[in-house]
Amino acid sequence: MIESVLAGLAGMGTLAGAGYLCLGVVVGLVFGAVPGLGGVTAIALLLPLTFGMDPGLAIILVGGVMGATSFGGSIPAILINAPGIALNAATTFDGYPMARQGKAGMAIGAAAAASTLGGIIGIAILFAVIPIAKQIVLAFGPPEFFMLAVLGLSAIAVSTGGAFLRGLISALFGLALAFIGYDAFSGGTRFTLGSEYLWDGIPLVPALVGVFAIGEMINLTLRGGSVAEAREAVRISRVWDGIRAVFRNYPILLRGSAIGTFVGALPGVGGTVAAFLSYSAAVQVSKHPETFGKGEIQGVIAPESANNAKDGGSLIPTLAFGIPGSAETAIFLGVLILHGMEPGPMLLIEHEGVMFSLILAVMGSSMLASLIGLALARHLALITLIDIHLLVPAVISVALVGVYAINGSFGDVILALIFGLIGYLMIRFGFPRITLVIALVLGSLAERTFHQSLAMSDGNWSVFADRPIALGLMIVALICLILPAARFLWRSRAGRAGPKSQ
Amino acid sequence: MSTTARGMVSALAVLALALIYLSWAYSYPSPARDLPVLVGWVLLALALLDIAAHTPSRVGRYLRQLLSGQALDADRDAGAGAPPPLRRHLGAMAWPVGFVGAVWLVGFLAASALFVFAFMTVQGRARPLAALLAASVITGVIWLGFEIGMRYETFRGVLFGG
Repeated sequence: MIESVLAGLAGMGTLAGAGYLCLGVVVGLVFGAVPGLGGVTAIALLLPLTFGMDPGLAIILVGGVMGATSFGGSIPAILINAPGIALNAATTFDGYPMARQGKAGMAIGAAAAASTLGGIIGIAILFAVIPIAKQIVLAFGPPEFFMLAVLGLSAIAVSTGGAFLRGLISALFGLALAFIGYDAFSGGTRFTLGSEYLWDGIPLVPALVGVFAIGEMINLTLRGGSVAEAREAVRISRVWDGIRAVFRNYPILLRGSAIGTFVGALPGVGGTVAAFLSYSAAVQVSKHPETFGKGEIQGVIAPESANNAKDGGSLIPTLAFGIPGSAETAIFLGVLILHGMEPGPMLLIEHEGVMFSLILAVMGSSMLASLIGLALARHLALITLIDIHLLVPAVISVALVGVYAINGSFGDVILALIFGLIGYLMIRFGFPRITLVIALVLGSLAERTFHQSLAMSDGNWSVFADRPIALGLMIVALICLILPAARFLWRSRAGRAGPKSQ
Repeated sequence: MSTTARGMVSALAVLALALIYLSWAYSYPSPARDLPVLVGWVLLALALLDIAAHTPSRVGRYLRQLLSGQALDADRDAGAGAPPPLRRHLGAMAWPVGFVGAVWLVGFLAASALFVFAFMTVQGRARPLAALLAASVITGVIWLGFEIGMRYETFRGVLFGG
């Protein structure tokens, strides 16, 4: 492991490595700062552009983006009450009031320091878990991996907040799409409509670019205007006071980082939940909870530390099991496929050095993002004034050129367009896209391990219950599936008990 | 269309897709159809549940809250503004479709320039000169990035030998 870490460091230490890291950070900051874009769109856009690159450098670039978008999104959240990405929403609660009180610089300084330290703590926990993760991976067989895929899909669906049922429907739709193409077990093709293009299945990169980048741009077309409605020049000052405040409030930092890492490790749950949990935990333990929501700096530190720590957490299931922990890591798996690395349980074992490049890039990015972000804070805020009518055609044009560049196939462009329309319809009708994408990634793993499990047991389905780890995962998956109903029933009972006690 | 009606329409669409998928899956022999059939049946069941959850009845309301813990869609509608008309949705979707059509005909460089110019002037009501400048810059970036930087020839379009 030490050799792999040193190899990863060496990769980043070259001029090219450092250059791509900085580029990734700048892209991440810009995309994080523009509401409606975000890290998912950034990585989806960069994905086809990494085609001709060295795999190690491509991963450093993507790691740079992943570590930077959270802080990029906090700047408009603080300055104009418009979170750059969903996981910065909790930052607006106290960040914007601070800006209105003339303390924007202090809030941004606190966000920068909390993001950096939260990201480092998340990666440190990841480093601690990796050696154990490898042992766990080797103890898993086909039944365990199938149940893990089922658990991953169940957990993701539950994590979609109030769209649990639609999250499940999206996941099943994704699985259905994953079955398109050649089937190794029967030796024939399925659902290809006679098209040779689909013999190898749905290519992941065009699908991801379509669902996230194109779909999002269609949605922005409807919104129109620009993100910020008025040009606000905010004096950025007292940044160092904000940085010092993070160290003074280290319990909040540590708690937020732990929450972010743990929640980030749950597939599909993501930084938004982590940020809100961290914020509410900070309110609950505070001696002065009434100050939150009115410009309390702890209300900035808590969510910002969590939403960067989640990057390390989300890499745990991604690298150990090939199960994406977030939308960004799902698209990151597309980067791996593009560069000939098969996502899955053996990734950490066969490509350890490359994976450590990613981990170190994410850590380096969260540090670099804060430094660059602080220097560019006011300019980043001006990005929110860019007219959407310039942004949309630019992003669509570049995205589709990139998709075409992968294989030189116009079929990829058409597929990206189709998935873009699907992605937009999913936004409009409230179907989570993240579950579709993760199911598309997990589908082939799920089917392969399903058939392998039945082959091992001569067709006996009890193989999933006879093995303790598989049984445990199945039970957890069932708990995930009944969780929304249980929560509702508990809340109903609590609501009925309240009036009676009076 | 209210949120509830929109939900019902989409739930019915999912039901139709599930039925089509299931019948298609059954056309394959085992083991090729095993998992697709399983997925199809579960999708069908969930689609029916979704339809039931969007009915304007006590059962529908109970199902909605049981499955999502969300407040009634009607409650959310009360605070929300009127959704855009259908033609605006179709218009928004037509832009990338038109762009891909233009790419097929005249290639990426020409189509990108046309797309940016048309989108900014028609959708954004920008001044033609500003739109022309933006189109030139973005096309220039694509040309520099792909054809010069990556030494990759972009698709030229069927009219120009692509």
